[in-house]
Amino acid sequence: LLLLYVVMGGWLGEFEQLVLFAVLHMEPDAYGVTVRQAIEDRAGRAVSAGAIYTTLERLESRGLVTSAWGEPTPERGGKRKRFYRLTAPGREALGRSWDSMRSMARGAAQKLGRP
Amino acid sequence: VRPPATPPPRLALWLIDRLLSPAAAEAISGDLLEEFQRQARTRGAAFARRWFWRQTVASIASRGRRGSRRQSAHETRYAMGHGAGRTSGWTQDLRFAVRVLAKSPGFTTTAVLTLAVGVAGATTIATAAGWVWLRGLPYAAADQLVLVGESNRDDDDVGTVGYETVLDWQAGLNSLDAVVPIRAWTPTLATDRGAERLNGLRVGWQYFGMLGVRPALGRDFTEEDDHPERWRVLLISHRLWQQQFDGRLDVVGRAVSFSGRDYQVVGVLPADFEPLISEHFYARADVWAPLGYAVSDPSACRTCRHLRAIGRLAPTTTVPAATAELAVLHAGLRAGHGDDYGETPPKIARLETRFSGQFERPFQVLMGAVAFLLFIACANVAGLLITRSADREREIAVRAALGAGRLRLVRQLLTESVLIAAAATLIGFAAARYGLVLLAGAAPDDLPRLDRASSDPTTAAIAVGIGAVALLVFGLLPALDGARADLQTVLRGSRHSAGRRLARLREAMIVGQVAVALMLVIGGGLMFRTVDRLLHVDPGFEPRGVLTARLSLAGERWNEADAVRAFQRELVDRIEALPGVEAAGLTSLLPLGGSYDRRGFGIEGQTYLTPDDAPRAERYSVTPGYFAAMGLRLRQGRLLDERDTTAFELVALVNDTAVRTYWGSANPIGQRIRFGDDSDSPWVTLAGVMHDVRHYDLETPPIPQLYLPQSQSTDWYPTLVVRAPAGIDGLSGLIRRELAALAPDVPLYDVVPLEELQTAAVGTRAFLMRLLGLFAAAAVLLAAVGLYGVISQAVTGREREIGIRMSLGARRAEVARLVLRRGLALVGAGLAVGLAGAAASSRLLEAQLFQTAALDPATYATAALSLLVAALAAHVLPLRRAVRVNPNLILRGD
Repeated sequence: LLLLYVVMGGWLGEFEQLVLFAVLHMEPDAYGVTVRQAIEDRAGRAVSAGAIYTTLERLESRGLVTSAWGEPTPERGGKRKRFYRLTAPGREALGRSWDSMRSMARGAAQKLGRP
Repeated sequence: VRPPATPPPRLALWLIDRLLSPAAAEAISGDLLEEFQRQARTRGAAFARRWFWRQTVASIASRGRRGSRRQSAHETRYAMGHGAGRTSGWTQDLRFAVRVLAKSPGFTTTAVLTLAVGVAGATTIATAAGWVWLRGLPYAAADQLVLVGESNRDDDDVGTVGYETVLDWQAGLNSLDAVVPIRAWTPTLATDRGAERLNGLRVGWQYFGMLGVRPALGRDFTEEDDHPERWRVLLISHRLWQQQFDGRLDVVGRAVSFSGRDYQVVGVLPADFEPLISEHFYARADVWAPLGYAVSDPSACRTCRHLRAIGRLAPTTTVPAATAELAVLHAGLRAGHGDDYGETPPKIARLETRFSGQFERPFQVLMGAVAFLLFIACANVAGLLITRSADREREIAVRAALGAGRLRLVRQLLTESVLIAAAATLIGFAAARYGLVLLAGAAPDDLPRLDRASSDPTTAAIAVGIGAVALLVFGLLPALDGARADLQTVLRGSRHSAGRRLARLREAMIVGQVAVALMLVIGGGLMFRTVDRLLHVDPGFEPRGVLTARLSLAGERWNEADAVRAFQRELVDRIEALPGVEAAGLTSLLPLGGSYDRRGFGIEGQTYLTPDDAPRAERYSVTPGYFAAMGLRLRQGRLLDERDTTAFELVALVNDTAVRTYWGSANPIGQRIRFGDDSDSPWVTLAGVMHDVRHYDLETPPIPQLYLPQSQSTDWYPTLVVRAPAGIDGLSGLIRRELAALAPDVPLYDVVPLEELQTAAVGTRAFLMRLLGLFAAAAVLLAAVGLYGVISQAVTGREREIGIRMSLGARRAEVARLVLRRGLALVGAGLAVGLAGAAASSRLLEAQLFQTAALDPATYATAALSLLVAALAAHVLPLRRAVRVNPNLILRGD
């Protein structure tokens, strides 16, 4: 049941939040490479391309992101880019996640030893 | 300008395409390619390739792990075995296997790396053996190429031959399509960097045609070129073309000057031409010219035996048939020119046998060694799989109960093994590429073609083949057995249903591993002893701090012997004046240098029935400084010195062995000898006796030796010997400077520390020793790891028993004995089998041994002992666990 709730788009996992934020930051140029780099640069986490697509596909199946094929380029060996952007429910879900995180985090900074 | 694109790992791309859905594969591989190019530019190609592989593996694995709903559904269907009907069954198997393996990284890493060690070793050696030993010579129909030559005695090697004889052979033999004379040729080329001595051959004009080689540029030699007036035309190697002529196309027709004479370049040989046939064989050659002899030449006579003859057998002939025909022809020649020929008929030997024959044994030994290593690795991985399949019995039984057919389960288990083997093959192949480079570096110089043995498609094929064999050995058995799991037994909780059967299998493997490891250790030990013995042989000279180099005084300028002698005196004086130099001298012949100069001589007052019975000695024509430079020891009398010029009495020194052999107990000082059997050749008085020097190699007992002052017999190709106790680094530069100031046209070449000659004399054996030692170490390590696994598992399985025993009052020592008894029984059996195996197979090594018995008890004992120590070390951790078993915990848990 819990799994079902997650799947139905009730809330977002931590990694899903990272990916959604990265897509949001990179729009309209959000595809595998830029999303991966955004996560690496901002969150300092090295992730595999496969993991990102797994997550993006899941988010897409939940209607939180939408995607479209771009043009093939030579440096990609003639392969096309898959561009992602947040849908309205996606923005809504990310916003909600963030709100809850922010309210949960209020007053925690000192205890965690963060500025 | 953009740097050229680095090629991404194609196999990784293929894996992505195969294992991921098309849409994901396109997006992911595109992303990876895009980033790969950036990584390659900023961090280098090697880093980028590693990064690409990590990403590929992580991507494939993560798409399994972070499974979506769809994938979970897959998994369920899969577990029930329904996937088999789908077209993508193998893909599913593969994906599932990746996921399963990724879930237990410890197991996967151990299995893959263990197997990779075996694959890398086997691939490296098999590739090297292919080049050195198995692969034919790189010429057309090379198995028909033969070496033809006269020989003095039946047991002699195929020898050299005179020009006129070759002509008769060419005309009179039907069984040989071609007989081509060759001789060594070392012209000196003037370059910007000073004089350079080239290695080359003078060849009969049909030479390249016979080998089936055509010049890449220009033309081959023609019959007209092979003429005393017109032979100064050249074919040059691709290397020389690139280096001296910058690869310019107009090189054909250009004139080249060797020692002041002009030669015309008529062609360039292909880059892949391997000039294996040279003076000493295998040595590099860079320039070829026609022989250009005529029958009237003084050096073309029948007894002027300085040519080698290479021939090609007619298509349907055999070596014995050709030899028989040659014997008949030889008998005819003897009838016509009786004085010129000996009784022994000429000999024919296949070139390939000659090239590869001497390396057959060492490589057989090495191939055997890597096969053993591979076996140990396979046994370890099989052991790991067996342990694992015991753990997975429950999973497999459940899947079987859900309806997965046995075949399906076997296929699944096998797919995991295939993946392990594939990963190990990849890593092993990559490691073999470095292995080959290391091997080429460690190999003695006389191992031919090893520098060419780079990894190529053949190596990849070898690696894949070895990986496949390994897979059969380690994968099939556990897979078949693992799938036999029966739900009833498993779910009822008797965990050791299949376990017992498999444990026995694993124990048998341990016995085999220990045995094989012991055999490798013994082999390595025997070689170590041999090399040690060889290096302790007193060579008769003091090699430390001595540099040797050769000089070549070719050209018109050096026609006068007086000019040569004056130059040599001046050069030695200048070098002796260099800082740090203690002594310097010249010699016509260097011990361990690979050359011979055996001369017959007569002793005053002694007569011989035939010239063959006359005394013979290796002759060294030296300058006075040679003795001090080499560190030779005087036994009796005096050394040669500056007084011993032609103006004075002719003198010579002999060595101990010569005295013992030819003078017995008589005092040799003052005795007289002479060279040649002319009664008018001058007498030479013996002035001193030298300590013996090992000349051919370190193991051949010393032979009679003679030292003559170089002032009495001029040498145009002397070897310079310089002793500088403080160190010989940078010495060659100083010597070159002196030489350039004195005679810029004289090349200095083969600059080698004397110590290196000593090491090179141990060459093939040291090589064999190092490799066997390496494999033995790897084998012991792997066997110990395997043993550890078995003992550890046994302790786990008997924890209950141990607990009960301890609660009943068993002491720790008794528990330890319990564990040890089982392990040591296995090790003991392994050692016994290994000792027997080593004794049986040590005959393979016998030819390589020196002052070491193939059954040397000390080596066998040491090897067995060291393996026992390793085995005990493998017991330490499980033992500690066993004696710390807490009976309360165990019994309560029950």
